[in-house]
Amino acid sequence: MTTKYDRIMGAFLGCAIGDAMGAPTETRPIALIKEHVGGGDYVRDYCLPLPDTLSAGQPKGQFTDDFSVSYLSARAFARAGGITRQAATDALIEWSSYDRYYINHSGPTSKRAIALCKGEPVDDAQDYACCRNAWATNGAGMKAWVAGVFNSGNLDKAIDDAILMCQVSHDNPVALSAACAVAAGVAAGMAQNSTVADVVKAGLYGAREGYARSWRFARSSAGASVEQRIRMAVTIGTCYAHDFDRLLQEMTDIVGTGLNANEAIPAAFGFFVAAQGRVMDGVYMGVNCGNDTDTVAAITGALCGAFSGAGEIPPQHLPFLSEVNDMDIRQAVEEVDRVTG
Amino acid sequence: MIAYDKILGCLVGAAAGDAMGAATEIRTRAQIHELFGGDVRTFEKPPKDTFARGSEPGQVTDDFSVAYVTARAIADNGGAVTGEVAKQALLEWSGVEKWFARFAGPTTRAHVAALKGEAVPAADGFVPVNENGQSTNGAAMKSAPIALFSGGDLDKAIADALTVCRLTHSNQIALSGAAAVAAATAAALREGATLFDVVQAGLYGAREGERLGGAVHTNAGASVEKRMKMAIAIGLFAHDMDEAIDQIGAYIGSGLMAAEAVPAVFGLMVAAKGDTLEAICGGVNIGDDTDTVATMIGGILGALNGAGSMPAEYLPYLERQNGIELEQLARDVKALADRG
Repeated sequence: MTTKYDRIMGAFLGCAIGDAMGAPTETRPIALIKEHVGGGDYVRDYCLPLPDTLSAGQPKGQFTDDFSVSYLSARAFARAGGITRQAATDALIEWSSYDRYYINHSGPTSKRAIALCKGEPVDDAQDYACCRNAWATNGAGMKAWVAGVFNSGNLDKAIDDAILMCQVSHDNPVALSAACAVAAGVAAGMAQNSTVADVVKAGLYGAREGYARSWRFARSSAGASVEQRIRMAVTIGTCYAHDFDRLLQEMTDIVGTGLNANEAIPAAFGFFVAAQGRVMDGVYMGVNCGNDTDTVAAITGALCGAFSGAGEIPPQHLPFLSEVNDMDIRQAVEEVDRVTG
Repeated sequence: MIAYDKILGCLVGAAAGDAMGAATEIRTRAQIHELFGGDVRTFEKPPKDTFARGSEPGQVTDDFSVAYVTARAIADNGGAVTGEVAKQALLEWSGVEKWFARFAGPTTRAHVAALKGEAVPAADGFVPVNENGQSTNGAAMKSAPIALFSGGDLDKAIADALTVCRLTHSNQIALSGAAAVAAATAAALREGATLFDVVQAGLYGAREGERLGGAVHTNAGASVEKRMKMAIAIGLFAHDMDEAIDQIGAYIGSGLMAAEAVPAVFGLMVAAKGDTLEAICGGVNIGDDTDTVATMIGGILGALNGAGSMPAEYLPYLERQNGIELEQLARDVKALADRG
């Protein structure tokens, strides 16, 4: 039997490995990942980022925003005894004090939110617009797995907590729909005896509910449906599970694997299905799928890890990533395990 | 022999789609219905909370204005589509406050600044391998009128679109979208062309644009061609236009990226069975980047079905509201085409 601790550890490690391994492949299309980063093949290990990537200058295994924001948020929630808006805000501000994350890795939507939280001036030239469609990014979905980990088996609470957690930075229905899909998918995966289909159904439910619930108060945005794109991604994941080349190409070409919330998050669900929840398989898909690879790999890793636990993750990843990034991941997992009863 | 009515139809359709969509842009379809009481089918005054706020009904945005200025410059250059003519037209357009300052998109803005020598390099000299955020629809949006100089030759239309668009959109995804629209328009201009011909030409253009654009720069991003196929399938499967609009909006999207807006164009044209006004209306009401989707549809189907497929009052109305001379441009293009 897989324990709750083991599933929390799986989600943490899945996200961490995906983020760190995807950092050097980020922004490239599949062909150039193989050519420039993987020495002619797919990337299946930590690499040194090239000078033309966002992670240039970082050592092998260093995180970008995806895991670092998630980690600091999870620890803040553990300290607060649960997910609160205040703790989410505190974590975001704390995160922005780390130059190695904030300077190269703050996405457009998070950057603005942090400035607002700090009372700093922001560009308000388009504040008149009823919709801010460019803000519907994947920065909420990348960290929302934490809300799933805190709410094993409780989809509705995971959805509400994901909104609470992510509204600070991504106050629009498309980004929050994606966040709630991830939170609900992880919450379903955390439950004992859950199946791959349970996680997918929970993701679809989260996407739908997240959109509907947040529409009532969030700043509106127009954009393709996260829920429908999850359906497309799961179809592709099912059809091409046994053809790695085709799986990755179809996913990035049709669903998309980019900065927008309605690309990266659906793609992660598609890879979760193709990998049948196996952590390393899912992570490798994300790392090599092109475009916003680190985020897709991080979310896929978290979904898979919550579902499968950390049991099959090779043991060297935890000490390696903890050391390179100067983070006590094991302690964070213990804190979350304790506070979630 | 390219019919005058097709040339004029392309211009009127592209202008009409842009102007009609200016009022609905950035909203969701539900918000469009809420504000206007249903689908928008006429020229409305843009509300105060959208990019075109302050415009009068019937006024175009960046989409058609940059196409018009560029097509005018090409006509004045004897019909030769060259990088220099395109560049001068772009700079001329960028000096028109009501069009450029208010509406120019992120990719166009960045590249116009570079052309003017105003670009600010990163302080640390960092040059990213790709700028995936620049795979936008700003190339495709202006490509239908540029194709009027192709004489119905798909490969010439594609080459011309790339000549004009690579100044601002130098990546294979944006150029794939531009070539899809250009090739579809070129096919539409031919006598006896059908919607099927237009769709096949669009797919050919997307493929060729991606191939030729890949020599310029390869961004990471979704495929225009594959999403077009999906959008066309949705357009065929949908029971009616209403369902097609919702499904294409949900699955394909209709936003700023070329791999959303351009596929949506083809899906909506198929769903509307090639009817000019029905398809434009689909673009106007799909939500998100409505004016861009609608201007591309109007340009392509205006060429396919001719100016006669739209209400006669569109032409004088659009000319008056925008201070532009569509009829004169169409006559000049026709004279150049006849000269061969």
